[in-house]
Amino acid sequence: MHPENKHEKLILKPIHRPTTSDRILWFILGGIFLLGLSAWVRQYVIGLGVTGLNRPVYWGVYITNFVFFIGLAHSGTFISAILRIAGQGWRKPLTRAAEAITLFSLPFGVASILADMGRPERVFNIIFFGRYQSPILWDFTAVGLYFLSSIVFFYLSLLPDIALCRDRLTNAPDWQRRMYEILALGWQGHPEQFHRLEKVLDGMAIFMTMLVVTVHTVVSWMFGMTLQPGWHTALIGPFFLLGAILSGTAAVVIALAILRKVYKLEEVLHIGLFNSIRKLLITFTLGWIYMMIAEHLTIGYGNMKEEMVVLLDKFTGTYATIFWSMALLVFGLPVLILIFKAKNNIGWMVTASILINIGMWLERYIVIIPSEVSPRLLPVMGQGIYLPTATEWLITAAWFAGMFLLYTTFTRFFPIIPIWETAEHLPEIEPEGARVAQTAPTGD
Amino acid sequence: MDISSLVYAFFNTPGVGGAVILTIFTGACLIYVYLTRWILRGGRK
Amino acid sequence: MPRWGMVIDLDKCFACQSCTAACRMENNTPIAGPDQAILGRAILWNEVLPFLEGEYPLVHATMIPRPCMHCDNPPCTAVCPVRATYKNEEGIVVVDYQRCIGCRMCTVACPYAIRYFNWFPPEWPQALKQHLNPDPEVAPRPKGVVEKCTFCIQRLHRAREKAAAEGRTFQATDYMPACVQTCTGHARYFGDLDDPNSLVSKLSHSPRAFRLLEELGTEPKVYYLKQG
Repeated sequence: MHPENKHEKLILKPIHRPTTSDRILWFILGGIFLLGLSAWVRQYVIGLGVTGLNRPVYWGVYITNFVFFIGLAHSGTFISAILRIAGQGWRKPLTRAAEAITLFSLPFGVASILADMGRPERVFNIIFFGRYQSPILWDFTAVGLYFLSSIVFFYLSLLPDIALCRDRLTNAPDWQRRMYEILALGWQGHPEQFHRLEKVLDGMAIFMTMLVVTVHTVVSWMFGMTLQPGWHTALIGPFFLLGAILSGTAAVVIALAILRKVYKLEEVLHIGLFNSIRKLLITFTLGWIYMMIAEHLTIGYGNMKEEMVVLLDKFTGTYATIFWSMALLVFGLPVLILIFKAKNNIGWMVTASILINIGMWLERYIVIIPSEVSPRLLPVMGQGIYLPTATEWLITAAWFAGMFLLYTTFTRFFPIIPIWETAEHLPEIEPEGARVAQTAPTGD
Repeated sequence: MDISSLVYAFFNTPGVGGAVILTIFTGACLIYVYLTRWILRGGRK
Repeated sequence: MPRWGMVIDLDKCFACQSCTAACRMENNTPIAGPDQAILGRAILWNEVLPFLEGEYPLVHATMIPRPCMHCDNPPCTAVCPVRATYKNEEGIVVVDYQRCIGCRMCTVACPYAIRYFNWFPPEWPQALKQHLNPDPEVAPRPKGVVEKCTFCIQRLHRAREKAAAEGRTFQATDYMPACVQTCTGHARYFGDLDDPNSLVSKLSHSPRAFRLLEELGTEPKVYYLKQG
């Protein structure tokens, strides 16, 4: 038994044999990815000296990417878990597109860390010799559990649709049908199965929400737990979290707009969805500027020597250009666009979202680098310098290309709009509104 | 053994952190496998 | 158990850099070369830093020789995910090069920036290569790991072995890092801070004594005696 969804054909349409343009796209993305991979191999052989890193700027673009990718990953959980708990029914068509961002950006967050390590082959020392006082262990736990849970959350909500693919897409190549057969785990679409699935997803949503808060806070504590000026602040956790949800939600807009256009899904991904996200984005950019002001005003007013060096370096010094462009990209422009232009206008929504994401990457950069450039012993050590090299940019490009590659490939083999969640009728059970709230297992 | 040295040992002994991670991951896997099977069992008598 | 510490008298130091050179020869720190040094990649376990106050012509310069502070409360060891760096029972902060994963969290956490990362495999000009310290404890470190001043811990081990071989008890005065031994102006003192009769212990209580970034609570075991 399968859910009845009047858009079923439309949603399944993108699942067909890869076209020439698909192949070209995959080829380009795969090429960039392989190029970056070979840059990494070269870096591994020669040493991290091929990057622009030095003393005291020990962390650079790789760690920026790590924070950014983990931030992007917050999109899916925000849209599907937090909005699920809040009972926001409008989220349904876009849950999977959002969760897919989570799923495909997390591995590249991890890969960014691996690229940053001087001895990536010793990564399992963290298991053999891990000591829990280190924030890196907290990261390892939080990001690992988040990744694992995201896979499960994603996979479970995909199950009914895989079964549907298995039964409907009989023209697909053999291997593809076998894949659906195996992945569907013998799903029959019994009403009780749907009922239990909803229950588990509800429960997991609560757990995922806790995880999402934990993950990005813990990521920020890699910086916050040190004594470095500019990092050692309690606000860094919430600030990172808010930034993550902001950039994640903006990424969802970009993904949705592309999917809508390329796969002609206008009917399912209607403009109303974008208008709903627009309100969220306005809230988050305002939240972001609030945190920004709170943090910098506290530091500036306190006027402590070492902290001020970093602050002034951002406001008027070496990093002024990046700092002020960031403020403009994350807040100034998007807030104006979102309030005055973006209603009922997907083009403007996408513009604002792209600006936000570029700005958020710069924000991660501007949090990390200036603090390292001006260490506490600045008067005796002198200011550090950091200029990322081609290797760093190549690996960055590769990780982003890898993420797009996974995403585009996924959309060719699985429905990117959840068919069962947007269905008018699930087999013999009431629509969601009538469901009785129950305490469900939380998954841990 | 007093509690503070236990806490110190927990946070500082190499390997303990790894064991914590493994325990959490294994526990999560078991729960997720159980939940998946529970969902799929739905409607089968 | 001794608690090793160092006192550096800034009145006596005239920034001759012999400590830096002696450290390099004793500990086999690789040569980065001028183009890498300008990028901030030079590995100098001991460094003599100029601390300039005021502007020309009213300028006051203090030269501060800076080994590892060997903090009693080290921020670097706290963040190590694998206990590759730790404070040993005698208060010396050391690195296990075989275990270090190269995440560089310790280098970021150290407020004194005294921890160095091997950006490349170690290299020496041919002439220097022949004069590497043969002690296996200071064998050149591989690329991708962190290294730092160890108060020449290999000298401590050799001194203990020597005392044992000679059938006498090890004395704190048997052991001295290379920078202390070589110091031209006799500006450096080394010994057991816990021994109230030791010179370092007495000097560390001198009214001239101060430590770098004392306000952070890292409790460095390197004391400076103020100039003047």
